[in-house]
Amino acid sequence: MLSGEQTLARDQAFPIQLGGQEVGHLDAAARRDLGLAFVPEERLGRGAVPALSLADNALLTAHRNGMVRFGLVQAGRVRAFAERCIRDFNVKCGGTQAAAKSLSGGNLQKFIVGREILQQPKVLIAAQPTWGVDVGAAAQIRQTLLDLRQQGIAILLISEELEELFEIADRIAVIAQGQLSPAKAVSDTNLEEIGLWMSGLFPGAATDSARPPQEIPHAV
Amino acid sequence: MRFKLEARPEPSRLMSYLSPLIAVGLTLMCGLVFSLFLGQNPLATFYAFFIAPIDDLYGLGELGLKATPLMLIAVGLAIGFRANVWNIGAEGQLTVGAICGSGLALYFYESDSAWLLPGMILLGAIGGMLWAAIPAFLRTHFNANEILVSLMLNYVALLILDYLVRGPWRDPDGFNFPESRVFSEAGTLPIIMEGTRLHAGLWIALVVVVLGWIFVRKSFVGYQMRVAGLADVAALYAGFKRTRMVWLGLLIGGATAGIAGLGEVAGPIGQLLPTISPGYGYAAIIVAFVGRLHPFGILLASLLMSLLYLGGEAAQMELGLPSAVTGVFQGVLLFFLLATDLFINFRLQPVRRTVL
Repeated sequence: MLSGEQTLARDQAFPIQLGGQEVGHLDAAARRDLGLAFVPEERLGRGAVPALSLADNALLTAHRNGMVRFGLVQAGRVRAFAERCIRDFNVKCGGTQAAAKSLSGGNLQKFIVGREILQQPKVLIAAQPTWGVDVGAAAQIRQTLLDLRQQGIAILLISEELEELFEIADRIAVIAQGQLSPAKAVSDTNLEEIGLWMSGLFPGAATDSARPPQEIPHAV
Repeated sequence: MRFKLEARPEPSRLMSYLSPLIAVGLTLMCGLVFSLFLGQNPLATFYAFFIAPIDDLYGLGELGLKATPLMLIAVGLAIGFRANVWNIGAEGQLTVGAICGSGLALYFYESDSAWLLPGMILLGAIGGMLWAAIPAFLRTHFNANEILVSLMLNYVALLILDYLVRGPWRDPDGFNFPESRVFSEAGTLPIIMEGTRLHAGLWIALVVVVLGWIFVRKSFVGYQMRVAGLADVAALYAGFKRTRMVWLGLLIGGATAGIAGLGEVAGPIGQLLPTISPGYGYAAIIVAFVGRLHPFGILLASLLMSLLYLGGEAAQMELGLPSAVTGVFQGVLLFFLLATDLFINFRLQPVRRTVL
């Protein structure tokens, strides 16, 4: 929803803003134009087209960076960008013409993270960026997120791994049973408190019995 | 020994190129069996069907003449098919394109302006696009199935044509035959090979093949349509608009079909008749798939399909076979193609008998 794959009506109670601009009604392309980047949970089929080459997959979201001129794809620029993703993020693959599905999950994830980050976004949404990724790659992705934070880029990290969140997040909030908890600085809270929050027991949570059905708790 | 179908780890590239060739081979064998059943000499049938129609210049001209609308339509359809937009209404779009272009020719029937023909071609494309816009609108606004809508509109288009040639557009000097006036010289596509009926529409078709290739391979919109066809969700993630793909897929197919229809009435026919196409709009669907949805593959496949049309006509005249023989061959070819395409993603593995 935040990524814009589903658009929202304009008059929401909690408007979604990007740099002060109302974006709730915009679609994914318009939000990306405003500097949003998104690493989705599913790699194959959403974050990347399995049958297409890495170069073609780089074009998928990075086409704003001068890769299209007069409606034609500038193949050289696309390849150069894909090569940068591969080099900067240590993606092990058979080159820019290798099909996305030929990569291991971790390497494809590094490629997708690289593609989103190298576009210099203003806001990055990363959903489970290290899910199913080997330890080395996961550490590298976490370090990259920290580096981005140092550059002043806002990052929304969605993860089910509490250790990961406590390691790299500044503030943490929980979505449980359809409700968003207040955000709390990581240094002011601990695993036990967040665990309680994940079962819906956070300040301001509605306590009536007519709650929406239980959802998988998401730490935000 | 028994065999079982096993999914290949990767779709076979080799098989995707071989499959149309195998399908053609099987179709020929099927034809052999047919001719034996009909009591014909198979070799004579083959000669009459595939060699005799193109053994002179006129025959080669006819080959190009019939391939022209097929490749035009198939290139347009293939662009939509790649994006999972299933336009089955090329026959109707061809008809409406022909009607719109003819309207101009009939209104200015005494004109000798050099602008008449370009105007007709433009109106032909617009007519085809208008007819394709109906399924596009219904699909994008009401999620109506474009396969059904575009298919049904074929019959509507044919009835409109029928009404026009029997009613308002009938030739006033035509002794009440259901035909329009014959188009003026300026409203007719010039012949490009002396002694044949081959007309300048072939050049248009070849240009469209090259443009189609550029669109599919080089353009960003072509890339977006490819992504939409391969992975719907990835297209959504990247922010490519599905409705735009549907509109483009249908309008491009409609435009090429409309030009193809205009090429028929302003080419070999030279006027509007109640029937202006022997099912080119349907045959082009087969051409698109036999050509692997690739513009250059379609170029070759359209020549093959054109030969099937010519062979069918020749077989009627030479051997007295029924006219349905062309349709039978088209159907058998598509049948075998779909069957052999299975082996792009699957392979046969022998089943070893297990010892108990």
